[in-house]
Amino acid sequence: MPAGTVPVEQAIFTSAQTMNKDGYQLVAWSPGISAEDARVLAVWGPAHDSMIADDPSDVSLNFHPLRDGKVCISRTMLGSAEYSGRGGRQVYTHCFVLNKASFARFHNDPFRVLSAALAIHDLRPGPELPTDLPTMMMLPSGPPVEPGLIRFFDSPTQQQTMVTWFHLALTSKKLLFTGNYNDRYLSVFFNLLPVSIRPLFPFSTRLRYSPRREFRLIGLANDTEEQKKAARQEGCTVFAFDSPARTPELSRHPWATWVQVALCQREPDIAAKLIGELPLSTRLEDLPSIGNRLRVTLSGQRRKEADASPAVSLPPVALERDTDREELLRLVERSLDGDVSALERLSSAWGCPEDSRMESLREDCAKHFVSLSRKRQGTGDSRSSMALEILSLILRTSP
Amino acid sequence: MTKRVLVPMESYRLAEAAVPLSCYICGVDNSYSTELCRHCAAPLALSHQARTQGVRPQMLAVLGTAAAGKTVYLGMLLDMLTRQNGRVQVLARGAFSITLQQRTMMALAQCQFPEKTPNEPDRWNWVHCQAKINNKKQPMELIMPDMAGEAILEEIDHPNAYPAIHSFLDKCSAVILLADTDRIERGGAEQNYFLMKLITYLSEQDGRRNKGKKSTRPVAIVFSKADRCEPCFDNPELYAKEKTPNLWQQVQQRFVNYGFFASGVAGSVGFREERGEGPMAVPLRIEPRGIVEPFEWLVRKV
Repeated sequence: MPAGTVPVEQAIFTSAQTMNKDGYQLVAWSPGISAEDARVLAVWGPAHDSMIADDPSDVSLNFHPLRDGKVCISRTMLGSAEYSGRGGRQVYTHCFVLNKASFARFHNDPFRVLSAALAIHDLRPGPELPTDLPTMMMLPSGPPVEPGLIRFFDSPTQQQTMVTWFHLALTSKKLLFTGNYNDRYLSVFFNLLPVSIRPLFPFSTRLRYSPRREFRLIGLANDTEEQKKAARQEGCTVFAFDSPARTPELSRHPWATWVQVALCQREPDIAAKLIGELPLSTRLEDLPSIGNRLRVTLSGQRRKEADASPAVSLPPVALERDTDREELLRLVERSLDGDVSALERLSSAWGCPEDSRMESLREDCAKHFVSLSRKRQGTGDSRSSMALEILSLILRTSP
Repeated sequence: MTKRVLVPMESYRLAEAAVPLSCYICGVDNSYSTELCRHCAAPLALSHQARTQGVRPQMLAVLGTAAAGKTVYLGMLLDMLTRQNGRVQVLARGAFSITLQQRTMMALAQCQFPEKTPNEPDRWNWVHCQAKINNKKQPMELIMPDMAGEAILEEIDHPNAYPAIHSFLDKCSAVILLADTDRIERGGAEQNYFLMKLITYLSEQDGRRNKGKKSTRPVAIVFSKADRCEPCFDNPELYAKEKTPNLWQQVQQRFVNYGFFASGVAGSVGFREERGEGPMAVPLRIEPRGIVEPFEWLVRKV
């Protein structure tokens, strides 16, 4: 075995006419797939009409646990014609199976396994189905948290979507997500979770909902019928990517608020380091307290840096200078536009001791907020939860 | 000032929802308002229907390999029985019971076979109907699901892989086994082995109850797509003896009530090349033959 590589087992589940049987079955698998794994994969496998879109270029990514700590990461797409001549294309699924230790080498991130697999092989169905497959040797690389992925979402809307997504994912039993999402959101989600928590979030994308497949995060694209069907099930929360509702800070999961702080960072290496250093014994129920702690740590670090070098590119708002008033009013305006980083900076602005000047600034901000809100009411723009949060920040009250 | 209003408590509604509803197929308790059983994914509409009828419905299984013609057979059977005023009449219970018939007939009307049945139990079509036979006073309540062939085989190979199939086969009163004549004629032994497995599975389920005696559960072995082999229609039992001797032997040894039948829906089948989708089978004309006979025979035996 080459140094540093990890063995990854693979299997293909699709519809075919073979010596054993006709129809959907495991047509090929590597030697490390046990009989029990094969049985579970055959029952789990997405069969005819499982893909939401009837588009050969559409890809569904899935991640779910198998038995004995093993996990399966799979990629499903439409293949060639269904063998029985009943119309439609075969649904072709390439599965990668890893044991606990191997998955840990990828920092428990399914997207790193998929990237490694795609780098080695073309995972599209070929003209001939293979009859047996070798064990793949993959080379994991990279730190537990990639700072580059944190940088990826820099627009306020994307950041707001991500924060709401985190809040719902951490507080729901099952989260159905709809609308125009892309897989990048999922990869950033896994990247911003502590390594030990990542296996607790099995997911599927662009696959029809079936209660038979136990996923925690379920991507249903824009198919209304599937959305209705899934929403009828017990314990499901729906998250629409196209119109994400903002969650007020006080009722938000503290880890989601920490994510908001991390996403607002222009230099995300510190946030990545803080998440990456969390111990492997971290549990899901520890996340609220750890989220709060990390937020305080990062804010403290930022304050220290600001004190040490007042001329950094993005200073926290300093109330002593004459330009503060304009700066604060601009932050109120940007916050009302949904800019999460502006809201964060507005929050840090009220850290100075109370005096008459600060009281007058507070009053100015409140007046500006009211006038902006009045104008926007006229245009039909309603961001009531965001507005409530800004007002509570200005007035130092709880929404 | 607070206005005083009277709000009826209607607590009886809460009491109703607090009582669990047992799945008619697997018996697991579910919330009253749930759509599908949380264990086997069978529709709980069956339990609601069974509650209101007062008579416990019997279950009838239609089994066969993938692409043996289960959906077409069941859909055509229901369509014929809901139309004719002959010896057997069928009345669907619940709107969900019409879907299978509708799906099959709509596809055939467009010169297509219905699409493959998905493997997921929550997407199967279930039929609950009342069957009335001329000579019998009491009509029968029947439940018949259209299950995917791969799922049936998976359950036979690995019992409890599909709880819905496991419980259904354990409780069903009668079985129709479909053997694909087309594939038998092409020399494949797969139909023979699959049906032998099923026969063994069913008889062993009964054997536990009958202490090793032959099973009394009625079994109809139906050679589907028999339009591709005329001698099969003439004498299905002789056809079974010659073409699937192991199956014929097993049935004799394990069951008391059995019958061999031949059926066909499409009088003639052609193939159309669909760009990017390969050859597609096209039913050129609809000529149902031998559809009702196995069902009528079974219903009389139950």
